[in-house]
Amino acid sequence: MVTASELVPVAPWGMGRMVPLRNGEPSQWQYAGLDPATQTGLWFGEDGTMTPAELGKHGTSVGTYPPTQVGKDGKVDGDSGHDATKD
Amino acid sequence: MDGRPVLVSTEAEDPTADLVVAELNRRRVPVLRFDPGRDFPARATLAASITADGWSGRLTAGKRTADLSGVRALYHRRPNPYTPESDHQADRFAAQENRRGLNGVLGALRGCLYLSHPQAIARAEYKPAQLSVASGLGLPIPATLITNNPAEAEQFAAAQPTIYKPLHAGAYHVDGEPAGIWAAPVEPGEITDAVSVCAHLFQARVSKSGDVRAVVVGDRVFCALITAPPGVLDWRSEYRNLTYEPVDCPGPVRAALLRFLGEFGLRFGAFDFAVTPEGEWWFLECNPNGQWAWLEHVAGLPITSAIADLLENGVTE
Repeated sequence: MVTASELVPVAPWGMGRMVPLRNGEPSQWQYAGLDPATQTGLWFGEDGTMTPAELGKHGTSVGTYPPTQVGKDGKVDGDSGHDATKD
Repeated sequence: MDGRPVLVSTEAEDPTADLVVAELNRRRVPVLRFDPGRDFPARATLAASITADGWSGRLTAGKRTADLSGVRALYHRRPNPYTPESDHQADRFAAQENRRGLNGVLGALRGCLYLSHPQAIARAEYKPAQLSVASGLGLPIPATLITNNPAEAEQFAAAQPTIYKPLHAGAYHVDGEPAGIWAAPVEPGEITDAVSVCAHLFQARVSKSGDVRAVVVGDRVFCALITAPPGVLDWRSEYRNLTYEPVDCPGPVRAALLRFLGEFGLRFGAFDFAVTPEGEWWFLECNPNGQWAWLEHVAGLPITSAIADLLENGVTE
């Protein structure tokens, strides 16, 4: 007879080494949609100004997420794309 | 003026793609940006037909339209996958047809430069394939064991200083917080029967004085030496405490990287190396669609411009 506890998968050894990333600061920029004219994102800064992501031009760099960086809302943009599991 | 568009396939919230699109805008290169997995079919329309010269027809997204017979390049960044909206059969059917139809046409455009082709990226994500190709090209690689046998794992970890790292870096959570598994040392006594539950990758620990991330764009190679605080094995775990220095790529390594991209049909790769105190570069892995924008910023490497060059020039031969 199958019991409920037997349906919980046994965790692989490697998973026991999983830890919260906590390796970056959440972005101070908030995404506010795509600008149809430029096809780039609009980002709200802490001071309420809206700006496109341009490296080194606005004193900050919303475009510089490190790999496996924690973004706002816990969003992670790692080194692998979403399609890395599909082939 | 060349009016052929560059397609940028990525999610809406992607500041790295923004940098490239902004650079293409500056160069007056027409861009059509969309997220096939999200925008199609509600906000995008496809009408493609095959001719003796390849696929022709139109892709429209928002207010922009691309002539499929004249796409200059496709930048494959972070598109959402073709995920069914529900488990319902109708949704699963639609998702598969979109994937094979839209994705299929986008992957079969004649005269289009792919940065990189999505199927080439998917193939190159396999670490076993990477290690085999890298070693075949003469790059030093650490001794590696992939096993589900706890006894083999224990024996390997006893034979030399050993690390464990996952074969795929997925998005996981611990108590609602983003989580992951850093490459970290393994003592033989830590191995348990739970190794038998799935494949595990163990690797000899390279005695290193620093790390290099080498970003290859076409035939241009940009390298930064990354120094982490003492005792840190996986620099990604210590982003806030790293120092960066642009460095030259040794000639033989550069040649191997270009051949590596050639073997996998890639035009981009973000490679990680461990550098020994003797200055030898040990291949650890390649991220075929890896991050680079933060490195441009901290190490002063002109990667945005190199990517825009490739996309603007399109297929040249």
